[in-house]
Amino acid sequence: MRRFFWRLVSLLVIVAAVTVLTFAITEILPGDTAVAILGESATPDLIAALREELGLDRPLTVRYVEWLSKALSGDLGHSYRSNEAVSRMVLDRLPVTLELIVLSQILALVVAVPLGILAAYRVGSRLDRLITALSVGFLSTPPFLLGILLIYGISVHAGLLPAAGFKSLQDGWGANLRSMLLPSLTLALAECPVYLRLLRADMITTLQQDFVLVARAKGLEPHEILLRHALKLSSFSLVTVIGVNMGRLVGGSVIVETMFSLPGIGQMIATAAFQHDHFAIQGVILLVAVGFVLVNLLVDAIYTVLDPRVRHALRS
Amino acid sequence: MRSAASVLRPAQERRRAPALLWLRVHATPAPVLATAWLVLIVLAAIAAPWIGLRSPIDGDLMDTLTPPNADYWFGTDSLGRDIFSRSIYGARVSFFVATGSVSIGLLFGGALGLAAGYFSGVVDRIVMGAMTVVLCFPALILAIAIVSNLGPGLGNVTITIGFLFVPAFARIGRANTLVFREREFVLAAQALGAMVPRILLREILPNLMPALLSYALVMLSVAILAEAALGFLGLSVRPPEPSWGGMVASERGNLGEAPHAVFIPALLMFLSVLAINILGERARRWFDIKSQAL
Amino acid sequence: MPAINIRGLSTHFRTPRGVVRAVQDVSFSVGAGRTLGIVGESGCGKSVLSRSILRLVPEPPGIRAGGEVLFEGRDLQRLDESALRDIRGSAIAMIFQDPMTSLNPVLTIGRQIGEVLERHLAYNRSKARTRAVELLETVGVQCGPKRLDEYPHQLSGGMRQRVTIAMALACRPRLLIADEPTTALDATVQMQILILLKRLQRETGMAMIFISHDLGAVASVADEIAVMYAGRIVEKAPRADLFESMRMPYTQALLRARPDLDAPPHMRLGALEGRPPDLARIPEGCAFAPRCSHADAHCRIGAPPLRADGGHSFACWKPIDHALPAEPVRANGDDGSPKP
Repeated sequence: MRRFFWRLVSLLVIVAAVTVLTFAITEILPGDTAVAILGESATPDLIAALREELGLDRPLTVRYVEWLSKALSGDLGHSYRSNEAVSRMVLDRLPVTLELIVLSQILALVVAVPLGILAAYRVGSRLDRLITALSVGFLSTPPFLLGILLIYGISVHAGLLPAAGFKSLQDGWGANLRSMLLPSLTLALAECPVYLRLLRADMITTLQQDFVLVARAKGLEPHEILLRHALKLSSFSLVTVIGVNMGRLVGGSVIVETMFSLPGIGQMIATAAFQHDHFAIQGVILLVAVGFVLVNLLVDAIYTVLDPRVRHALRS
Repeated sequence: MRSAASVLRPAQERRRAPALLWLRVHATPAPVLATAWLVLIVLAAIAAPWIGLRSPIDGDLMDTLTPPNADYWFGTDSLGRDIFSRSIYGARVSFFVATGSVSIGLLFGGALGLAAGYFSGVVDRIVMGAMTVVLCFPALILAIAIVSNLGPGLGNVTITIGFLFVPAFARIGRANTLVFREREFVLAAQALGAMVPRILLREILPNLMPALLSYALVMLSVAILAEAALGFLGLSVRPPEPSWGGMVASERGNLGEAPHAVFIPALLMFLSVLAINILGERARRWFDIKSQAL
Repeated sequence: MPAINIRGLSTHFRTPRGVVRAVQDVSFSVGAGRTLGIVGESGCGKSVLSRSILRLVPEPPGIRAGGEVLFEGRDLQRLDESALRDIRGSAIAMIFQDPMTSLNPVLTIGRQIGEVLERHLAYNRSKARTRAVELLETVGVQCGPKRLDEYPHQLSGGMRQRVTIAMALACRPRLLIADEPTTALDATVQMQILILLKRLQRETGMAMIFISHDLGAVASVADEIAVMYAGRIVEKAPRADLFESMRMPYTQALLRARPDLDAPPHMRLGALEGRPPDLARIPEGCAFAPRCSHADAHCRIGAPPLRADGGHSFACWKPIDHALPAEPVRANGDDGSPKP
């Protein structure tokens, strides 16, 4: 109970700090919002008028408190470009990004887990070296290059899947998945080496533990040792990294959604940044950061429930 | 399947003598090739304005999307600009941003980590708390937000990426400072009444450098990828100035007819990042061995 | 007929420093219901020997350098991997030193006992659970089915070792290899485990190879004792024989390294001077010569062969002629610990 309380306090402190930093990025950094909106050629009069209209002439702290209290009531302001409510924009786009992230996490894990186990099991073998080399290669490839290669190979040359365009679930599962496959694969290929390398390193350590020797002395088959004994232990660090990696995925979704024209949050961020739509950026970043914090908290909680060692340490 | 017995092999492999490992590190072709590639591209990037390249900005609109030939080694893009010249100037941007941002991260992050680790207590809490808050944001998202506010441009991109590197360097610096803070030579210097700055700079800092520098090497590749991502989103140098990510983004519409315009800059970037990663991997392993020998 | 018969077994390791001869030309046999104790300092090769029997030494870097392990008419050194897996944990079982690390921290003990039954006896989950409860009761873990759902960290060290013993005994092995099963435990718990092992052996009639650096622990359970040094067996004799007329100066040194034979069997061999030789660079001649007070020039030239003198064999150029002053060897004190 005490632990839970302190957890909550530190969460609140962190979220508060996140709001401050979010506000600071857009408001304190040099670079005048009004100038950014109007362009550098705007006359000082026009800029002053806009600053007044946006309330930029008032003291910083006043604006922060106002912004925060509005944000707490769900009002993240309006896009300066489309005049849409930022919270509405985010909600509309969230499902697309979530689908992208979930699909790519699944794809990445489906590839990374067996390969990581195999590499660890036959460490130092030619197969292990091949897997390791490939993962360094993919780690060195920016997501947009992976995406372009996929588009070039699968859409332009083979004509198998659409290169761009989003079909929502209303268009049917098949159409939706077809439109999401290449984007998810792009993101998955970028994430895969991260998981693979982690799992390989972790499994190598696990396989040196005494209980693996005991399991072998019990006559267990290699697959039983690897999957039941070793993977179970290594999966806990994998869970943690999946949480931390959500940040990378959100970052990657900006690139991938831009590239495949998916109407998700990533594309919204990219467009807003390109158009200097500062209020939209401010709102969406606050949501993304808070979401990221919460996801990591959730991962931590899952971890606590899953790992019997931690679970019992807490109970007693 | 090989026998299950081989699962215990790594323990043995790690006991390899350092001298043998040194040979392994230096005699294999991959790091040699990686070094050669980096030397070549960095020299070309530095010398770009003086080696008689065509203008990377003015194109020949009569000669668009030509594939590589004797005249245009890498072909031309959709505005008839020389891709060879644009690629070299793009390398200039990439490596400037990479070295600049890693230096910023190393300098500020290292200093903060040193202070947090050495003084601990309140300093530690404040510094590391601030770092945690920065890490609450997905890095690329934060970079986009900051650049979008500062406005695109070489300096702003460098500063932004450098800022994002600070927490990681601070953590490494702090962790290592905590180790060395209790070592005899530091305690001896304290006992002899050395001033704090002297202890930090002369006794502890030199010992942090291996860890920080080998990490810095890895971060160079992260910086190149980050710059490329920003460039792809149009948030790196302002067009028409070339950057690798920007070149890929602006030409990807013509992927079908002129794949070279996209793949050549992408390949240069891939090779550079790969080369750095290969060297980083070796450095890390080499450093691991050294730290084990301590 | 012996339960297991080992002939000239050698296990080497290929390392950057050269070939390490961890086990060299070891021969012994153990009859059903009998216990062979193997004793030696750490680094003498006894753990590698115990793992070589079931081929648990990783290859590479391990090398099967010769010899045979005859068990129920088959040579385990030449058996294929999957047939060997059928023997591991069923006909031959092992217990290891550290019960803290021998159990997987994230699997319940019921699962870890049950999986042996599922693997070798094709039990289903519920049957395995029922049997696991019985097994735990056999090894003295007071147990409802609830115990099965506990994790290793919820048990004490002694309880954990009992669980690993239950795991080992699950398929009624004909041979149990116990590699330092009591080393990591408290003195009183050590005693309980030794008594338990002895009782279980009486009940099942299995053969046992009991490995320890603790001569006292070995003396309390073994019918026959083999002393290992630098990868070889240097003296082997029935228990009483060994203590009454030990021939190897090394064995004597081992015994003297124990401050008091009546002390509980957890004393380390700290008092023995010098270190065992580097197994990659075993000296010419007798490996023990550099530390031996009896050694002369002859001992440093040729390695002494293992000579048999009745049931008592030893490898020494300058064996001790007469026994130690007659001192009855008491096996672990006064609590009625079982003696064969």
